Amino acid sequence: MVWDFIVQALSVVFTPYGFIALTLSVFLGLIFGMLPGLTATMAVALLTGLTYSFDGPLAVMVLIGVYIGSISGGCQSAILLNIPGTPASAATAVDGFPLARQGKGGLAIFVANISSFSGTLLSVLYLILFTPLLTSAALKFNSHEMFLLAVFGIVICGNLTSGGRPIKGWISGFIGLLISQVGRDTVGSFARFTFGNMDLTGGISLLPVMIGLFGFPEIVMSFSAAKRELVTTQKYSAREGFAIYRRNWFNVLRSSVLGAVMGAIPGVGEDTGGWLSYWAQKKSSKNPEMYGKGCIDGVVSSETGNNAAVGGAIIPVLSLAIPGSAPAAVLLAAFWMHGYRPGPLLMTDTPEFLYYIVVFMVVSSFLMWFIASNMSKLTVRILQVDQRILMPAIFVTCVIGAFVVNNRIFDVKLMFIFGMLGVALSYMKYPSAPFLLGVILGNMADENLRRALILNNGSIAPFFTRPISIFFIVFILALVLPQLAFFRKGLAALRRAMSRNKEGV
Amino acid sequence: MGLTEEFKAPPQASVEPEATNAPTEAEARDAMGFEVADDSKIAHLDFLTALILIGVSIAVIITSIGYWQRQKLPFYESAGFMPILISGGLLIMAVRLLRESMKHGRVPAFMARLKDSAVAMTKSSQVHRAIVGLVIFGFYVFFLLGRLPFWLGSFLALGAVLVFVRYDGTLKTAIKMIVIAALCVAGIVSLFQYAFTVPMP
Repeated sequence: MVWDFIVQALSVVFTPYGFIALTLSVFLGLIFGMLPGLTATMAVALLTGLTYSFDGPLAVMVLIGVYIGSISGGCQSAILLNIPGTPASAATAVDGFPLARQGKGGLAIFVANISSFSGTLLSVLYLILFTPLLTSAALKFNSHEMFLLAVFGIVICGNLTSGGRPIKGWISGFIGLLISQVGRDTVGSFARFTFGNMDLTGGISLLPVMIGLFGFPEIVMSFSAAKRELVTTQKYSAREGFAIYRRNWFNVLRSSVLGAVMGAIPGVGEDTGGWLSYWAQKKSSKNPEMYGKGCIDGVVSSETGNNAAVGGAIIPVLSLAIPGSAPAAVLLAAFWMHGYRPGPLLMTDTPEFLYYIVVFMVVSSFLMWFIASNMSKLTVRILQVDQRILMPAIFVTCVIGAFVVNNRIFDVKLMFIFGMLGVALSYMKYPSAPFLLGVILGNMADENLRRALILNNGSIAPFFTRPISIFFIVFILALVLPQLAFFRKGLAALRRAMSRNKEGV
Repeated sequence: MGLTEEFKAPPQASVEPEATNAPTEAEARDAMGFEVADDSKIAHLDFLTALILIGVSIAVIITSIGYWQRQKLPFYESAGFMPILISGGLLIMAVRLLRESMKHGRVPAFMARLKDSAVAMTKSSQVHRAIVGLVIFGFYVFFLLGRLPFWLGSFLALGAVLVFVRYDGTLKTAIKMIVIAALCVAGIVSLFQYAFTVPMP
């Protein structure tokens, strides 16, 4: 059975049209990834519009190719320019750019490419192992758990993406939840916050929100972008690159696990996967002082970590229909658009879909490695493209991307409005990821909470009697309570009392 | 593993300024890699955001109570139930944000800082560029799209933005930017409309 699914997926890839489409999408992803300002989210969002008329499997394959390519491509500009092409490659710049300044940019890119490749492959392994497990666990969830899962997603995403101020992450997530309430509600079809506007009755489409939030701030910033300086690379030995990679086998393994775990946490994703892997490698190193001065082990860890997060981010998409990262959120929207219904019933209704994703990811990662390793001359040319010309042109493609989902100019206007909101959030230091997660999870939270209460005549008791619900409540409290002053004071007083008791004994 | 443990991004601090594209100030990041903002520097913005959020939350709560009353259903069944919960949470967080921001100053000081920021923004050439670019794109989205053919509206908007962003006082640059805009629009329309048969706005 599994082999049948794999053969079906391979038959999508290895048709002339399919293979050319995948190769082009990986290539396009690499270019998007390496150009500062063009993020992986933007790449997947724009391609979602472009692949609107494609068959479902072909469209999914193209989007997976772009996703993997764009996360991997970010390392090139991080190393050669000290500007990460995507935020996911920010940690790569820490050691990659000093290496490039020492004339080892080519070697750093070679090692980064192998690390990206192995990170993606290892994450595919985790995807195969954990998606069926999580899916079967999710089948035990009822409305209570689905509501708490949505809340948990917002809370943890807010915690981890807010730079030490979870309240800002939570506010961002709650604004997203509020935005999701616009339109007819899913229980009684009552129009909320539409103010008589017929276009708002169907709710706010995801794609214009995503393009606006993640693409627009970069376009605005490009209006005042400075000209970039590029560090030239020297020749390197591939043997040396492989030797570095072999020496780092444990680093690769650990970074892939950390990256995949970060990817699987709702809304957190590749950026954190890269940074956390880098941080773990630095902490465990015998020479932590070497990091930041051109230590290639740092490049290995961050690139493995951010690419492993790709597979990790797809695990909750497939099993719970909750995205692990912003690009995965766009991917989820694209799955819905093409008629796929990821979630707890995935392995029962469409088990072949998991294997399609696995095959597409594996082939994409091989293609990514091959293309990225052979485009060094092109890389230099691409990185010299003037951002002030490129980004306004990208805006025109954003307009098409926002329009194409419902064929409405209204969605383009929404994209612009959410773009302005994205600029404001960025200026006021609010993370955008919880906002997006809020928009995605809002209706799920609303529908499940009300259904749970209706089924129990308004009683909230089942939330505290069902074991899985209790599990989620404990986790949510563990994330929220430490942020509250009275709890911290109480905990400190308890600790003092305990230490006094010990001294007394 | 402390999530809020800070570390500095070394290369951005260590490389010489003339050869880098990095910011001049080292950015503090937490272990997750997210930039740690200095609360005191943006306290006036937090104050302003908190006030806006409090207003929005109260408005949403009032509107949602109206939905509940119109539907005549038990509270937990009504369409207003979830918005009330969300905006209630938002209100609590906004009040907390307000209290946190007030630790860094008082209302008159915030008002002065907001005024100073606004004045500084009006004097910044970067902000001018961003605002003019936004106005051109806003005009394109809200007025040109749907009224003019897509290719023409896009060409006008893109041409205007490119000429504005790259204008150095010479006619040659302006013409070059207009040609680039025409080529970009032609390329985008050909790719989307003809190669991928995507409908245009």
